[in-house]
Amino acid sequence: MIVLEAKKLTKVYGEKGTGAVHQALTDFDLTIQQGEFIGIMGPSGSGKTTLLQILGTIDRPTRGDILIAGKNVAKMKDNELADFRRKQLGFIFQEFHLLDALTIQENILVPLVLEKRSVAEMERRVQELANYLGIQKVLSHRPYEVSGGQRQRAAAARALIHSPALILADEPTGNLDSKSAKSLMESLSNLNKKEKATILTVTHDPFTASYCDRVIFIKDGQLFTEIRRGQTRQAFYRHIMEVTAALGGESYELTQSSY
Amino acid sequence: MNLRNLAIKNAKFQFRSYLAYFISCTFSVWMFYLYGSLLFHPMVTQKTLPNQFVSLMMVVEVMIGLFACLFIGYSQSSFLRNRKRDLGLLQCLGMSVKHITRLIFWENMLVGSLAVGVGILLGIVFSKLFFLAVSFILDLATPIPFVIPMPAILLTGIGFLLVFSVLSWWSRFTIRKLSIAELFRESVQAKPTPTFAWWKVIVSLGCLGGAYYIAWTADLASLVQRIIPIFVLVLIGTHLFFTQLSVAVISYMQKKKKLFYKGTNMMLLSQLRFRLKDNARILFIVSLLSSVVISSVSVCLTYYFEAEKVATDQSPYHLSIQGDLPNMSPAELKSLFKKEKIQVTEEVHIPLIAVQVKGEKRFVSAISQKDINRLLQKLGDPAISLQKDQAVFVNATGYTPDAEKTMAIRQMDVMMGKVNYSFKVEKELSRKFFNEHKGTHFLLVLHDTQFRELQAQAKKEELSILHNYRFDDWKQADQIVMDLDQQITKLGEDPYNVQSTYELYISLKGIFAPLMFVSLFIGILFFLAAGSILYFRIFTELPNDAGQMMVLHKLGIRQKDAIRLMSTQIRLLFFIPFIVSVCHGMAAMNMFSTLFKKPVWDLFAMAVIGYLFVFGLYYLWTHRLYMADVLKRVQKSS
Repeated sequence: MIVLEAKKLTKVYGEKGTGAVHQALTDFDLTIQQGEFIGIMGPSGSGKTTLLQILGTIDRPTRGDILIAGKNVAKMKDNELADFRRKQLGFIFQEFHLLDALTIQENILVPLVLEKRSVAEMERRVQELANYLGIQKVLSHRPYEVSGGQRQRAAAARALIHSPALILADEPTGNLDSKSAKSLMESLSNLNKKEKATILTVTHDPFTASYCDRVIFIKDGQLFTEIRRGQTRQAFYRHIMEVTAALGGESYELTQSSY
Repeated sequence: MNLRNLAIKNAKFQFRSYLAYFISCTFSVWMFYLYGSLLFHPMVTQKTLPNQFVSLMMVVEVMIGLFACLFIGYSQSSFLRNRKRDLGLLQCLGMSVKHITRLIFWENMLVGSLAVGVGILLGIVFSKLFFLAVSFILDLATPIPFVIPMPAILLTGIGFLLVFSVLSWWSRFTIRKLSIAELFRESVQAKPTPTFAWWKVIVSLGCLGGAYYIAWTADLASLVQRIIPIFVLVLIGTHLFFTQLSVAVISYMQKKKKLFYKGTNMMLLSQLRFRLKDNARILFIVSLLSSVVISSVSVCLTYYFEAEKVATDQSPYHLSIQGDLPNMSPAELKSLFKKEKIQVTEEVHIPLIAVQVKGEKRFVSAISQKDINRLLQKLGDPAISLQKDQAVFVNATGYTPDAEKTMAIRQMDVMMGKVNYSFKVEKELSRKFFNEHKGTHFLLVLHDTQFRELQAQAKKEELSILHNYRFDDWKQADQIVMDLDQQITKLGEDPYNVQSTYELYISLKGIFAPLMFVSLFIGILFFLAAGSILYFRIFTELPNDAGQMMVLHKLGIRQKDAIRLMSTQIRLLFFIPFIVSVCHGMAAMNMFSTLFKKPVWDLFAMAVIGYLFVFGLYYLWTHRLYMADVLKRVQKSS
């Protein structure tokens, strides 16, 4: 089953006539099947984040159509979009973006609260996901009292709790040390299989990307190439490294210092 | 958990940073109710309170209302800006603008209705005391009775709740403008180092210097025209002072290596550079509010407490009558004094002629050289000697400082009857001789023979005699003076013809007692608002500061030193506006003191010390709460 279908997406920044026009995406096509785990890679300025924002309905394409779960989101009004995001999308950010006013448990619950689901269902889902992600001990803590890895796992739980059609992650491991990054990606990969969750993640890190089923490379707003995972993750990792090198050494984004 | 719970949790979490805002809102409601309860008091409808006072109260009520709207609006928009990340996140998670507006609405209503409730309650509790204070100020024989006027409660309650809800509704426009796209990799953008432009620094100094110069050289006559240019210059100058001059000073200090590399100075100055520039707008607003408070309170204080001095300066004779009393001869008046046991220590009777000087729109009276010399001798000043056809012009308004000017000969033409008299005037004298009468503002001193000539020519209504009396104790003459005034008014004569020290004294007190009373209340209101704006600003930096403290700790700086580093910054945020406002206040004080020979600095100092004391307490309170929160955060995350 197709979860997402993007046709000829084009995004132009800047106004016509002012001269400062920047084409971030050009006729970009993308099809995602249900249960896929997809990575998007590319040098900085290649249009990764723009693509993610457009797929996440945060930004609108200049031209083109996006069908998510059978609905064309490019033609929706702002209020419809908000409803759509609430029901069909989940987000994971590089900066975690948890609400400091709420405990970890309450943060995870926010999407269900907005959907006005029953308390019993909330309890059940939180316990299920918290156990799975290993954060049941910190559920009653505030976000600033727990580690980065725990925060990001809480954010992942929030993105998954309402079983959205598509989960969008923006550099989910960008602010984590390698050990936390590894355990987060393992959890996501397992949840992808267990919950049949469809995940799309933007990353610059080959290690993070190596957990995906399929990695799409973008350059200058256009598809560069696409590779699929074969046998082992290690082999896939090497393959990703090769393509990254082929994309051009100078354009390869060195790990940005997160602070 | 539902939307309302989420709002409550948010409000609870933000409680510390909302606290000062809450207190200021409560205080506004409280003040609004107090003045409202006076306006809706049955005594007002029965017209037992002076009309002027009631309209002053009305003005104050409107001012409090307007100020509360501005303050609440400003605070709410800065709360929103501060929470744009959270609100963007909620939008990203699928909340519509309508939903978020509703969330904000619940939060605002929670804080707002609490403030309204507590404010009205405080108002009711304190209204007895307030009424007593008003009765004292107005010198009422029977104090205003305690009532709880329902209209005042309704106006305050519904009015403020309406303001809170309308402003929350308004927030949808701000929310719409928030960009959710910023949620994606926001921290990559680094803030550029604040810079300054030399020409703006010079403009700042020029504006402030210019404003002070204009204020310093003002006299009572030019005061009113000068207020607006001074205000504009101060606004521009102070704004640039915070955005440009502060950065310029810090960058100069950073260049002094010896100073910069000493101890924690390096960190302090680098952080201050950002802090002062980030907070420039707030420091500007706080400075202006404080300047208004210090200036108005000290000017009102001065006029209230120095009313006696102003009265004796501006009305040098304890009683003066221009022309004849309609019902009493001078001899009868003297016997009246005797009857009332009032000792006359001095009396002068001066004949004056109302003259028309060509090209002069003001009332001018002619006076003889002999008479003016008599008065000058009493003041201990040198006598005037005139030739025929010579004259001296006297500015006797008392609004300008005493002076004697020799100038190029000016010709003054006086038409008297059908004859034109020309006088050469080469001296102008500024001196207060008489009380305020129609013809005593400007005098033309003439040679004795010519004065007699004019007297002979003048019509009857142009001639008058000014009767001046001085008593041993002018305050004892209150009854006579007021009686005379009343009789004259009753007989349809101009009450301006009878002037006295006591009358002026009473009217000064009558103007400045309520003004002082009101300026104290508004002063506290402004002061709390200024403090709460600062307080909120400081609390928004909390997560940053806590992070910084942890970094410093890791670098091996002791917690004590790290706290000192932060305290210094907070102290500067509080006290730079204070110092600026004291400077502005001094200039204002000097300008409004032209009626005195010199400004009354001890009263000003009292006002400043009072303000410093309250402001200092506010600072200590903020500092304490803040440090406790920072340390709590540091400990929890380490």
